[in-house]
Amino acid sequence: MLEALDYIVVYTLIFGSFYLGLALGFTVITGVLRIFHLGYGALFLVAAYGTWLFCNDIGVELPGAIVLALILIAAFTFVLYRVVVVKFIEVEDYLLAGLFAIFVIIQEIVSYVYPETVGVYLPTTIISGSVPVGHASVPGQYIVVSTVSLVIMLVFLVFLLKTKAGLIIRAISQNTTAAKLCGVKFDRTYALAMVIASIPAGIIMVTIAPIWPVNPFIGMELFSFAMLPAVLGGLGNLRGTLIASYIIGFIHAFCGFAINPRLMLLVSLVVVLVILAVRPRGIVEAETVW
Amino acid sequence: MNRTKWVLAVVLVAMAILLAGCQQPTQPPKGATTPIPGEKEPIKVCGLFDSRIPVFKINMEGIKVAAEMINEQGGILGRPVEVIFEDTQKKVDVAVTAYRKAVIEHGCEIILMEGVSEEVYAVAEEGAKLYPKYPHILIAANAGMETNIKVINEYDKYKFYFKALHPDAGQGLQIAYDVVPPVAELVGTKKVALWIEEAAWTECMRKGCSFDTKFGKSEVKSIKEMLEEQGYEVVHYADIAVGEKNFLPYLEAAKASGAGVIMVVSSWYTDTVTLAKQWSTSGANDIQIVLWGGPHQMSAYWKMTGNAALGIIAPYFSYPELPPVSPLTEEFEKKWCAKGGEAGCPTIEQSTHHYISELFRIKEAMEKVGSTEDIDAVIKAMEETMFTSHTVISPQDCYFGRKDMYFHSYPWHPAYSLGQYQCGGKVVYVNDKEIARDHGYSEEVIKELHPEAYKNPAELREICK
Repeated sequence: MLEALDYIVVYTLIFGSFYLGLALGFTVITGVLRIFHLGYGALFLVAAYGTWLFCNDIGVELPGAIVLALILIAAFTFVLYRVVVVKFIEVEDYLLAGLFAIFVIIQEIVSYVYPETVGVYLPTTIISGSVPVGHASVPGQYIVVSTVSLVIMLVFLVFLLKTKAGLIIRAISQNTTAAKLCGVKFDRTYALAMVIASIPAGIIMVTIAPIWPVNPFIGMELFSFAMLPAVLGGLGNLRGTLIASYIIGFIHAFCGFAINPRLMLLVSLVVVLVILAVRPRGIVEAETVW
Repeated sequence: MNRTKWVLAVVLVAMAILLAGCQQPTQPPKGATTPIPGEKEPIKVCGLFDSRIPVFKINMEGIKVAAEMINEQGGILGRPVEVIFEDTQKKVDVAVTAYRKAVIEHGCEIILMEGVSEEVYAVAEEGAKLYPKYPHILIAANAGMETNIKVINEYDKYKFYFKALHPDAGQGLQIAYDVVPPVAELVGTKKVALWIEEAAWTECMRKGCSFDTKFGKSEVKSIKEMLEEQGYEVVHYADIAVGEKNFLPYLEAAKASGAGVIMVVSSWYTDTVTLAKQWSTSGANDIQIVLWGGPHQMSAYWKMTGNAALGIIAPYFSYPELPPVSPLTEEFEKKWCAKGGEAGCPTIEQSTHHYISELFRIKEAMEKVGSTEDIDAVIKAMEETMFTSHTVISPQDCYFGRKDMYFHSYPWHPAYSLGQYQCGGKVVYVNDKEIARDHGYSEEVIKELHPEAYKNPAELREICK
């Protein structure tokens, strides 16, 4: 029993932090722009295959390739914002269709150019092998991913709470109309928020690649892992996402190590639905992004 | 352009790209497979595959190369081979439509089809209706045992179908007797962790099964039972989900159980690339892992895992390591590797070998019969002849005529093919030589087996730093 407790505690932190990293950007976009970003999964693909493109096909060193891939994500997000979001922000069904269409297009292009047999792999391992924690032996790279997630969360909090741009973003997320009346250049702020929020997805993808699938269809799966804590936490609130990520991490760790790994996703979905039935606006019913 | 039109345009472009991805060339591929005017009427070979799936795409390429080779040899009884591909979109209804088109519109006498059991099951039903008017041969590399039973029990109706694979019921026997014991001996353990993908094709391996056929009753126990009967202790057992990606709970449990070997029975749907990545960085990375079914049989696997496959043992079928099972193994290697140019031999997997070999088997059968049109006689010849030119399987293990549950399918998986990924992705075959000899492999193949070169994963990590 004590052994199982070890596994549950350790992997709650590991899984929870991973899901937090995936969901951070999605939460900020939902909180500030008030849109459900169905194209979010494409960011993981742009990160992984962009890094591969720069590193393997163009010959840039890995660190440079990662930086270029993150710039590519920012550029892609900015174009997405100008071309789809700006045009359809008032017409939700068109917006959702447009974002999802872009995601599928990216997925198909990646699948065509880099089919799985190409063997796309990102050598971004920082800690190879496993790290013993109690009875568990955690893959070292998972610890790196967890740490990176928490650092990004911290950076986001500092940015949102301590900078003028962050203050404006919070103002918009709290009351868009009032912020506009106060002279906030909301278009520029929306673009900035969306671009900034796209970066964590790229960083997490690049970091998790050595121990997670890298294939043209991984965007959808990572998107669903991002969506789950964001919805459970109360769409658009980082505090809610933080709590929800660790709740889902706990459910996965508990099912995985104490019951049956096959039930991990099923149980977490059921729990999310039950919580949402009781609290339809999620765990934290807040009006702002934090 | 207003918003509605704009959205419509985006959706149309997305659909166009999707459809373009799905579409297969319906014209014959370029090269030797194109009939030359003045030659005899070509024999049409239809390939029914979803080219978006990498392994099926490789199968298609392999079939093209095999057809080129046959045409360079003068075709089949002077008739050149023409290859036509139709898209299945990996859907049962589309596959049946493609199959009807292949038989009725294209007039294909030979149909090679992707190994998806539910598709093959439906197509065989359709074929039973078409065969009397359009005699043809259907070959698919699917595992499902149901199609074997159809042929055995209703021979006249389904005799046109052959399975270019060992059926699922037999695969359990092979794993329990030819795969786990020799690896456990190399490792020096009797403790085994057994993970089996929970899918229809593994039901017999998980629960055991029996078949009542006109050849008598066949009974196969579960892999776990068979291992325990041989004195192995299955210290950790798990049914893993199709498409599983998070293996950490399983790996931690296997480590805690004290297993010396982890045997993973899965298909292409379980992500064994991610399994390799997670195993290599987990606390279970000193346990010898053995994979069955999936991309690890291709040279691309090493790269796909980012070298995390170091130490993994799995059936392996890529050139240039492949032993010379028959003269065709090497003839095909020359053609196939020439395609890769400076990049080396393109990756290839087991089912591709089966499809290309079957084309040559049909050629041999037609030549024996002396006719390309008497399909009934060709089928009989395929059943009666020991085929000696399979690129990866010995004649006895690809014999179609056994009067038991293997009738019209391969009786056994290649008994030499367990390769271990060692330094730099070099694959070393570590099979037991006696087992390979028992299955009729030549001494040329046996000398390519080096069980003495086996190294445990920890040792390899140290050596290959």
